[in-house]
Amino acid sequence: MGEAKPLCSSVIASLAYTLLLVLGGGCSRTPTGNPSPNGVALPTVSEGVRFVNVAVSAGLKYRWQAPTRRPLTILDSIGNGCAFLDYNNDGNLDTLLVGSKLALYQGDGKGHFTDVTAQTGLVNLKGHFLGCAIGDYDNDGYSDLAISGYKTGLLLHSVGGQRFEDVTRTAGIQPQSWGTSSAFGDIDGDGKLDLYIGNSVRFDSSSQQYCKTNGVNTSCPPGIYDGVAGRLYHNLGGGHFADVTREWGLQASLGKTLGVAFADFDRSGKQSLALANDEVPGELYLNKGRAFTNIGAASGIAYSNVGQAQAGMGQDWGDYDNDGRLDLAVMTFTSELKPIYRNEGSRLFTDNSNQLGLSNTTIPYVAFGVKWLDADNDGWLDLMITNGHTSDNIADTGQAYTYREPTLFLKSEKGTRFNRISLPDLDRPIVGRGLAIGDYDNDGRMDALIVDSEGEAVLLHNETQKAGHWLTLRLIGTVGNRDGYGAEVVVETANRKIVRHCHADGSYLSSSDPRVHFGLGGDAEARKITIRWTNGRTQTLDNIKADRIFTVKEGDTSK
Amino acid sequence: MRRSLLLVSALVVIVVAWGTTLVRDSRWRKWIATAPRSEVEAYVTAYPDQPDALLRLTALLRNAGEWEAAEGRARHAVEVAPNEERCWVEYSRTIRDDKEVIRGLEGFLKIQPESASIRAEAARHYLLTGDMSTAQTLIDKALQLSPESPSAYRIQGDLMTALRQLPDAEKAYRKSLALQDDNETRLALSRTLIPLQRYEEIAGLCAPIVKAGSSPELSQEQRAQALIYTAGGRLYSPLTSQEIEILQSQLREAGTLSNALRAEERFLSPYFLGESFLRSGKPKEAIEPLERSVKLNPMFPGSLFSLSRAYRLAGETKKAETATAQHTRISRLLGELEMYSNRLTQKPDDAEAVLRLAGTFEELGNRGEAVSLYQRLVSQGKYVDLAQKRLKALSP
Repeated sequence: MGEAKPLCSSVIASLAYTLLLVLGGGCSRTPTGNPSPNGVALPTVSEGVRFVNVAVSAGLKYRWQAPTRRPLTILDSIGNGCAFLDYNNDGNLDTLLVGSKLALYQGDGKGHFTDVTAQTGLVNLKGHFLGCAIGDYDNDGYSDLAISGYKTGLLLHSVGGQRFEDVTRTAGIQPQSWGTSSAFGDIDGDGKLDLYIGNSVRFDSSSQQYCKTNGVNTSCPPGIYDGVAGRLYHNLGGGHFADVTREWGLQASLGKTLGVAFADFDRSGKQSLALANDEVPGELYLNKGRAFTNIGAASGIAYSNVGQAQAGMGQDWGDYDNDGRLDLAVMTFTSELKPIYRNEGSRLFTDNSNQLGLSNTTIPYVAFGVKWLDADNDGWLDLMITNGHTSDNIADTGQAYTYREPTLFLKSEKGTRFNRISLPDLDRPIVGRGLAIGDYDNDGRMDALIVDSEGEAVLLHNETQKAGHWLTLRLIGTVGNRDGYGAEVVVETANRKIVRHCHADGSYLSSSDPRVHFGLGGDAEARKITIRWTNGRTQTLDNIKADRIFTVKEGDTSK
Repeated sequence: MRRSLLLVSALVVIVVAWGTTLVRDSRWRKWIATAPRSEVEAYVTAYPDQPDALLRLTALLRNAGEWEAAEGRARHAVEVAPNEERCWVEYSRTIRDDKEVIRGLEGFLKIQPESASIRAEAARHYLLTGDMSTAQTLIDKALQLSPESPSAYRIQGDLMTALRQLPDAEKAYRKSLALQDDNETRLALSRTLIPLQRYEEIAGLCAPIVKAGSSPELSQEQRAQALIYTAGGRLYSPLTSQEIEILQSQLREAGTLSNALRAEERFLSPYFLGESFLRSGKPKEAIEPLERSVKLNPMFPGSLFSLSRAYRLAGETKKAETATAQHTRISRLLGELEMYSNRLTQKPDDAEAVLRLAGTFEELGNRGEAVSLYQRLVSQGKYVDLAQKRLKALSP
């Protein structure tokens, strides 16, 4: 293996020169140095929003250990995911931590967790597990687990919220070559959750393991390997799934997928699918009813704002500007913008990250997990982003990057700008990967669960003092899927109208609290709540008092 | 006594003569450094072989973007003063044919091998032809000969930029600037900071050039670059509508100077102008500059990408679809070039990567590169049938 020259050979030097003149350069993972501290927007000290890592005191004792072989390969550095879920349906969030061993902690809703891995049957499962998706695929009222991984993949059925049984084979789910993020969504509106599993690249022991960066062996970028398309499984009912990747038009997907998220972004009543792909164009599969069509390029989400493919990592849908349309945040590699694709309507998106002031703040980092959340309940979605470089020895390559990077919390200024908030437990550098959000102590403030690939689980408790009023809706589908995934909820108060959608997917290898959370600012009551279920039916509720968790059953209008 | 008087008189004459020469020389230097172009032209007409006037006229013509006329004067300057280093420096900065300049400078170096500045200039032209190793050798020698040479540091910065070692490039440019403030170095450093997204520093570096306004003492190319880098960089920050208008006026001015820019930079001002219109929600106004940008650089995916968005937002769906298809193709091909080149860099014996790279070059219409890669496969005995088939298809 030869010494690495700059990734762009002299053959394409003139093209590289052209691209060097605009943001992002021509080669996304070429060593170009680091923006100096002068170039990085300094975080502002918190003026209200406060997150504190309480993992240990809350009872989460889990440590991810990267392989001892160093440096890490691309496979070693991909990291893991985590989840907030309510596995036993007691109304309190539990946490699932995915690694070479799975760990499930039962929450008491008061901030404490107890390890229930053994009693739920997860303790005996072994494999190179990476991520998870949570959904009640058989509508029995209990959340089931889809675990993705390298040369593995499991579907774990919840037996009455007591234990999980491995139904992978009988369900017809195949192990993936390198399964990454996955998501449940009802693609055909039949009320049963289907499953998409993203795949990364073709990689095994015979593949090139390392690449040279400035003469130093480091993990290779995905461009070295060929991508593998993900798989779509249609839920046939009766616990059986069929691989419909080809029938639904997803066989040509480029693979290298790290972010997977369903959403009815065009309010067509159908769940479309966004895929964030690493160093190849992102894809937006528009649901046409019986098949998907990739409109990534036409919609504007496939590329960076200079028209180049980017290193897509985690992603999340959310309406950050409260215009009623779902926007898409996509995380990328260092030196790349982290696009915030504003939904302009007409299935068209524009990256608005520059105008939102995100360029300087986010560009230095390798971002993986991302979630929209309204941390201070002011009615505007903020952003949380986990970061960490992919090369454990990046510091040895003469570049100014570090392996461990801070977690970013970006506070929304009414959807017009985002400011980084500095807090000790966010600023502490970690090898950030998976990120899930949820209100585990049911206090109306969204908390966060984070994977540190070379450290212990991070549980960020939201201790914001001056948070606004809030309302959290737990949806129960009766005709549509029981989790209510894909439903749109519109809350109208005296001063605002907020649209959110019910989803657990998004982020990176992770699954979040599916309950739909609304920050209401100073409004103590929702005058009207409109729920548009995935089958198109709408349901309206009037005059709902704020500051509570409210369960809405499809078709039931009693408060 | 008489002898003493004679001696004193002689001394007085010498001092007066020397003083007169000094004053004349000083006046001449002042005049030649500040004289308007018309006066310098008149002087050169009268004294066509005066090197100082020729060099000054060359610089003025070059600043005005009149490259052909400037080249003629630069060639004449080295003809009339072939042993003067400064003439060769000016020649190097003016003549656009890199090979011609390299021949000339190497000829000079045979006579004066210890000239650090000529070695640095030669390195610059080797760099422009893509010969980085010769450029590196020349620069190393130049810095050895003259460790405080600002031009050598500047060209070392250019070399590091070409190698994408941007932090090292920045160090070299800053060293050069510390030794001698110079617009060319300021702009070169700005270019290096663009991919590092350090726009505030770029604005600071370009500010004196932007503030100077239009002047014959300032190269049109440099002014256009300063305007473009400043305005383009600002687009990556939040902007008010008023700020967008200022930025647009800078880009329009840069557009009027675009002929002075190197061909590969001409697309930038219409590209950023189009972007600014998109940013301010005016897709219809964005179309014309973006179309121009695409024409100037059809291989830059950003212009096509933005043009397709502008068409779509303006309701011109068919044009949008065409532009999207073009952009997707270009972006894919550039991605493949990068991907397979990278694979070969990491593993030079990767025959599959050679094959795929050859295919990409074929699709790009670069027959020469494709043929060379297929021949490489044949000589290595890999994918021989396939490679020979393609070679046959590509034979003229």
